[in-house]
Order: sequence, then C-alpha cells, then structure tokens
Amino acid sequence: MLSFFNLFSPMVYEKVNQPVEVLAAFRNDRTEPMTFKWGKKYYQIRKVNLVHSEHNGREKVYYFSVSDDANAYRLSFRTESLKWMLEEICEAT
Amino acid sequence: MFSRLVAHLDMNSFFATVEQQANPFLRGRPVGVCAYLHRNGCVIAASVEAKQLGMKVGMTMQEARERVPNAVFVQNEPAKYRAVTSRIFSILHELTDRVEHYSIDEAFLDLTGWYRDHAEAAWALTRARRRIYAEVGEWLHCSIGIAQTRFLAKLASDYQKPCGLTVVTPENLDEVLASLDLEDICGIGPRMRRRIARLGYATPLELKRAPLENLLNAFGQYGYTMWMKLNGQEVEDVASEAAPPKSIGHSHCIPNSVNREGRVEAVLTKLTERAARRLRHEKLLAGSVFVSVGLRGDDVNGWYGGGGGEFFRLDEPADDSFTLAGAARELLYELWDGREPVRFLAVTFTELCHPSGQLKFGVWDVGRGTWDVGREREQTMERLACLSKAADLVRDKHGEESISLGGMFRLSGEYAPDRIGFRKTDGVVVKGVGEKSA
Repeated sequence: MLSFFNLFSPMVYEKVNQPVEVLAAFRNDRTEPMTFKWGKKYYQIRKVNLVHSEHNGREKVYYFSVSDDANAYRLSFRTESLKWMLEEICEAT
Repeated sequence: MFSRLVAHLDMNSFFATVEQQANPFLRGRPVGVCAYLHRNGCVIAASVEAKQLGMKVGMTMQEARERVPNAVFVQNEPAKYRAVTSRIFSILHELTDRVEHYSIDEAFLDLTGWYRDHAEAAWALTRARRRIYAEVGEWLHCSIGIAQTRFLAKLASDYQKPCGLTVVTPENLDEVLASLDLEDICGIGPRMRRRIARLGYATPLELKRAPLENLLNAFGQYGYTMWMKLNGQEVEDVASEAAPPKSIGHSHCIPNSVNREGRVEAVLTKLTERAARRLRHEKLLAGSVFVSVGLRGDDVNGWYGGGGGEFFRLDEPADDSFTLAGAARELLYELWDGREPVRFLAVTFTELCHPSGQLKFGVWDVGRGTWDVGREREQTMERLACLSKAADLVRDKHGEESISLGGMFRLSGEYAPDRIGFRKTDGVVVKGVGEKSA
C-alpha cells in the first residue's frame, strides 16, 4: 500500500519487498504467521488484522496484514514458490 | 406482518475502514483513500473520523489535506476490498438465496419466506453482523435497514449511520419520512428538490401524501415511481442475477512522466488491452469504441486544458485486442495532435453483444480461383481473435504482465493499474455461488 503522509502525520510507510523467515501456525482452518525474522531481528506478531489474496497468473499470493505493539507489517506468501516476503512496514512513530 | 421482507446492508466508509482494519495504527485517525496519491488524486473514501472533520468523497487530495491537515492518505487496493467484500457477501448468502450485489459495499437481501417477521429478520442480520466482526474484521461496521420494499430498506439503512439497524414498517413510515430531508431520499438532488418545492412540498412526508395526479403531471413516470416508493409499493425487485454490462472500459490519469517519455499511445494501448481482456472474460463483443482524452491546462492543477471524446463504430463487433487497440489509436490521433501534454485517457467499449455463432461464407472468385477479399478478412479476424485468446491463457497462467502487445513494450505495470468502482462487483467471489459480476 502506498501512503501519503505530511509533516503533521505520525505515519511512516516503507516498501520493503525482502524475503523473511516465518514461523506460522495452521489452526482453525486458518494460517497465522506468529513470528518472522527480518535481517537479524525477530518480530513477534501480536495480531493478524486482515488476510486477503490475489492471483498473479496461476500463482495465488496471500497477504497478511499483521501488527505488533509498535508497527504494522504486510507479509506475503506465494503459493507456487512457497516464499514469504515482508512487503511493507508502517511505523507508528 | 410484512407481505415482503427486504434488507439492505451498507458497509460504512468501506475502503477506509478496510484500511483501518489492516493497519490498527490508522484506527481513530482521519484516513482518506485516494484513487492516486497525487495532489489532484480524488478521495474515493473517507473514514468516519475524517468525515467528522469535513473530508468528503470526491475532494482532491489537496483540498482534503487543507480541510484535515493531520489526515493520512492511502492509495486504494482493489484486491483487498474485493477479498473483504467476497467474505462479507459469503456470509449474507447464508441468510437467503436472493442476494443482490448492488455495489462493492452494499447488498440487498430478499428475506421473504425465510423469516417470519421483521423481528426475526433483524435478529438474523444482527448475527450476520457479529459474524462479519468476528470472521472478517472487528473494525468493519455496517448499517442495516429492513422494510417491505427495496427502496425503503435502503432508506432505513441510511437512517442510522454508522452501525445502525432500522426497521421501517407501515406504522412508523410517516415518522421516519417526517424526520428526513428531501435530499436524503435516493434519487432527489438539489435540482429535483427545487422542482418539488415549486409544487409546494418541502418534506418527504408531504411528498408521500401528495395527490398522485400532481406528481404525474409535474414529473411523469419519475413522479409516479417516487410516489409509489414513498408509499411502500414495490417498483423494483431484488435482482439476484447480475445484469450484463452495458459498457466496459478503463481510464487512467496520466502522470507527466508519460508525456515526457512519449508513452501516451502505449498507455492507451494498455487501457484498451485491459478492457478487452474483461470483454473476452464476459464473452462479449464490442460494437463500438469510445476514446476520451483530457489535455493538461496551464492552470495550477492542469485541469482546464480541454479535450474531448470520439466514437468509432466497428464494421463487425470484435473482442480481439488488435482490432480494438487499432480503433482506439485512430481515435486518439483524431483528438490529439501528439504534442500537447495529456492529463487523462479513457477507453470504453459499448454496443456490447454476445457472439452470434454464425459462420460467414465468402464468395468464390472464379476469375482468381480464390475466396474473395471479404473471406480473407474474415479469416484474418478469426486469427486475431484466436491470438488474443491465446494471450489471455498465457496471462491466466503467468500473470498480467507476462505478455503484452508491442505498443505496450517496456511500459511499467503502474500505468493503467487495476481500478475499483463502487458499482462494480467484478471479481467478487462468493463461497458456493461462484463469481458474480455486475
């Protein structure tokens, strides 16, 4: 998601598009990412806020909008390549 | 006891609340969802908080920012909204077999026969709303209206926003209408209000009680249907089957970079290709092509540079990208000299029809010993149609950007992106029902 913020806005969005390692749970017919490792740091996910999917040709990509106490993140999971990516990060400064 | 039970569910500030659902740090803040993140980009949805501060749908981002300086603006994400709508509509389809996908964030439900009375229907819809909170997102709010007609159900859902549940019965109809303004009624704008006021009616209740002859004389059929609707008579049913589209098109506001790089024709080709793909998906043929061009003006916003639109009626209805893009390109150069900077481009296919399935035979030219030119042209059209369908199969498998027309070569995917329309429910897939398009 692109975002416009001005000097008064406390929101900072950043496009990341980098692969991450994810620990996920499969429960109650759902997939829930629990923790992900980006760079050398681990991020504990507090809440999965929204899940949506999109087709890119035959490949289905699931997007997980998640958050911890400080930031919101968007993770994607590609069903053909089985790869997790950190798409973007929103820092609530 | 109602003879009929119709409900209307309206998601409040839909795109903005979906964004707030996805990002909890946006909750409680004024949020504007824009078509483009540009000062001239239009606000297509404002959060409840932004509306309270004066942000309105249709403002440019610059106007909205002046009105609400601390607002956060985000660009719309059609796939996200369609996914949420699909899940909400899937829940609604469990209540009745007759659900009309009125728009991306509104649905009508014909509950007649499924629930005994409005109280039972209200209870079922309250449970559905709880399921939306629990299964889709706790920040997604909806207003619900229940009445005996489609029109009154919509009126009822607009009555209390956000999160309202209003039941309009014959007993409380007058009370509800007395509390509304004429412009609160769907179909009455400032101009119609003035015309109604000239007849001496100032409120919806007065309009309801007006002699039908007066409205018929003044407004003809419109007056008749408005009187019927206000008096609780059904004039339009819940349409559970989507009507076929009357036109298919795609538009894009052109950034300066496209003009600088001389890629206006490439963007038009891409717009045509995207619309043509939807045309083929709907299994329709286009009878004519309409191209609209807006030129950049010298004013601050670059809005008032003129422009126009032109039609081209095809000899034969077509759905292949080559024929349609060729027609669009011809129209573009009728409207544009190739030098002035372009601000806006739109392609629309109209006079849509289904393929007749009839085969056409050419005349054998005895002298040349070949089929005549008409037959050759027919064969060329068939080959172009097959080629377009083959390209669609490649895109279905490898993605939208995997294959493109030569005119679109090296055109970034950000031009002519996927668009969301309020009245469009293309791509909304309901569990157990399949894809619905309107």
